[in-house]
Amino acid sequence: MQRTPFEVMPYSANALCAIAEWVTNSPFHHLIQKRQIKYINNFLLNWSGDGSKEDATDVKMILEGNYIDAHYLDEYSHYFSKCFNKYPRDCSRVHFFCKSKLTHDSFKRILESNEPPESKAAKLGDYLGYLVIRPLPETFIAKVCLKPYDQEINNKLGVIRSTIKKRYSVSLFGIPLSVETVAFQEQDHVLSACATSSLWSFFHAHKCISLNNVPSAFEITRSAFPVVPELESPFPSNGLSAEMICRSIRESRLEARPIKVCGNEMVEKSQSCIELDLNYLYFQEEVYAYLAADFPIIMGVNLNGKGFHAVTILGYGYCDGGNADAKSIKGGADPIGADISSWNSLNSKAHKISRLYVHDDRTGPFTRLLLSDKHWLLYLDRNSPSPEPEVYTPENLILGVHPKIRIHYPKIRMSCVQLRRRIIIELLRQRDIYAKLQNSKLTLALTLAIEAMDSIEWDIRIYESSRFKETFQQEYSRNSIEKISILSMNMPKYIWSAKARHKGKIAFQLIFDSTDIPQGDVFMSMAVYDVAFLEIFDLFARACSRIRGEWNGTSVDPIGGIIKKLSQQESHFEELNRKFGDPKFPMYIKSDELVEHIIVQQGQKITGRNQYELTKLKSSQIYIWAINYHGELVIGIDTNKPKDKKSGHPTLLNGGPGRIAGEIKYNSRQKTWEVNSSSGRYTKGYYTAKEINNYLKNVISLRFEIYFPDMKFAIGTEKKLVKA
Amino acid sequence: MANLAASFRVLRDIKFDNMHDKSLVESWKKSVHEDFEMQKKIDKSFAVSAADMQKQFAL
Repeated sequence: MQRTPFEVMPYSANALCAIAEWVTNSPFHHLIQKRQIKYINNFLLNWSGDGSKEDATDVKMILEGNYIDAHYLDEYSHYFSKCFNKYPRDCSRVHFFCKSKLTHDSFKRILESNEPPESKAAKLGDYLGYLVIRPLPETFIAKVCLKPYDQEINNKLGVIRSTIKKRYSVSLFGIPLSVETVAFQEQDHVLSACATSSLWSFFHAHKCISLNNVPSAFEITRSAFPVVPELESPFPSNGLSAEMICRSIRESRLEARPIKVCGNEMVEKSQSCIELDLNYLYFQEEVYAYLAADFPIIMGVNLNGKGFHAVTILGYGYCDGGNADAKSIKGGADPIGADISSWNSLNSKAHKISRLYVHDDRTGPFTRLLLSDKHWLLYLDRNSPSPEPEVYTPENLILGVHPKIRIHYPKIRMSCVQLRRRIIIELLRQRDIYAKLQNSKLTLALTLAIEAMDSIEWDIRIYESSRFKETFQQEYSRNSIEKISILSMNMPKYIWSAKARHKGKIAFQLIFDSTDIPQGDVFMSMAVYDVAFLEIFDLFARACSRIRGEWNGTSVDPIGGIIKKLSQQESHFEELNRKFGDPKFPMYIKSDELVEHIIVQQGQKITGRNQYELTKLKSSQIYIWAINYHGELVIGIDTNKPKDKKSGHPTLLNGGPGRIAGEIKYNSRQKTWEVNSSSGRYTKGYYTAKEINNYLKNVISLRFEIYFPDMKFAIGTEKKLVKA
Repeated sequence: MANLAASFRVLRDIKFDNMHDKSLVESWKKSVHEDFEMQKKIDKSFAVSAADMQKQFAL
């Protein structure tokens, strides 16, 4: 069938269906009544200046008559080309623009002109994306890439919306365009049912899969079936089971993790029981933990007796004021005397999630599901006089994450629940003690601390470590040493972060390794943002230190790593760093310090008393010294005369890492050896004046005065100025 | 926040003695046991059965 290369026209559902009728040879009245067409029509009308009208006058369409879609081509070669009926090989593509005054003539002039492609793109209007029409009857929506809304339409509730997006680049007759979205596809009932379409969108959205490597619907369905053929044939597709979905995910080198959510059976059996409540809270927590890190999730739902359906969760929305439903589930906030269930429940940011944005192949891209009375409701048509929502009851979630992520949400959640609980136990215990002692000041402080710990809101999610560090350096500002230590920490590709918020501000943050073995110590580090919480952790650390001996004998402890970190003593190297500065390589090595490409070695390592006979040396001589990596004192001669070979500090340490370094010279008037920190290679530019003073005091008292007990030492003046 | 930090500074005055430390260990053991039990229940209700894995998503 001959197709025109391009057409430009105002957008309307009728015009779109007329094109689809021509390409697919399907009856117009079938197409116009399609649920997906109604949804896409609403979606596009909302981008128009006047969304209430039937037609959007400022939304324009450009039809690309012949378009080769790689996935359809794959499906065509494997299946449709072998049908007796002749199905065309080429698709058509329709592009949408808003705020556009484009006409067929003006578009022709744009194409003719010699302007740069970017200027041409700007003249088309705001690009909203495209729809690929495959030449199959009825199920023609091969790919939809439409720009999602930044925020809700009529956002009276102030919903904060977050969705996964990827950049799709398009070349429209040489004009470069792009749209940030996730591709949507309608099932064709042949190679794909809902589960395949949902997997197809899942792979498109997945951060570990490049858009060029997304498998076609044919490949997805085929990979979902076992290698050893069973009785059932994959095609025409009758849907996929959860097991098959997991297999297909694993085929793409991702790790699949199915989770049962609740399902109708559980809802019917336990409408008001705490287990169901916890189940819903867990559902929100699991969804948030992975979705916030841009991992899409497959959700299997039960459609009120109609059967099981699969959708792809790509985003969530929440109101900062919280979700009334979640509050009613959580119950009493006071942990004192509360039952075990409220101990284990966790006040989480995730509980505020009140809507999900899903690619639902029965409906359209970024379909909104609203949480209401423990059900997810789908409203299809905003223009419908009495929209009857469909109830989507979640049956299971299927996560597909990077295979390096081996530690999953429940373990991290358990650590957070336990940490909060044990700190409160200790605070309650101390409050009882000091209440009996009638110490009102401490009793009040402990009560406030209990309230602060109890009101914590957790924000637990996975992070790519690079993204984590970008966020951390913007959010954390309390302690520069702690900040640098965390930013420069070697981290795995993915980490778990648990931020604890108090009154909306971050109080502290726990960091866990996501790649460890389950019995390993996954806790990595902690950053305390709020000094008030520093006092609580200090108290808790002292309690941990006191019972360290007894507690170590207990079984697996979910916060064992945190306790170890809080109660651990300073290591030998941490002590050396504190006393003599961090070790570092010399800033540079002079060519004079090399002989035949080998660093000159001089000096003597002092490990005992009076090993270096300073008194026998000329008092006019200047000596150099350095503290090496292992904290040992090394002394040598500073030869700075023009004729001599230079022998600076690197010659003491063989060019290796050292801590603070400087000079010693004899002050005959004071009869004292003066120790300074003059070293261009090991001191200058590294430390503040305060730090240098501290390190020099330690060098004199812990090294010189011990090794040379008969001699007097004092801090001397610098030859060169150090960093202010 | 600064006020809260000032109020909490007094927590540094808390002294520990061995008699109370024993009760802390006991409380901790109890809390770990209870939370693990609860976690087991939750894990059980979240575990996908073989029958669940065979449900066909086909709408």
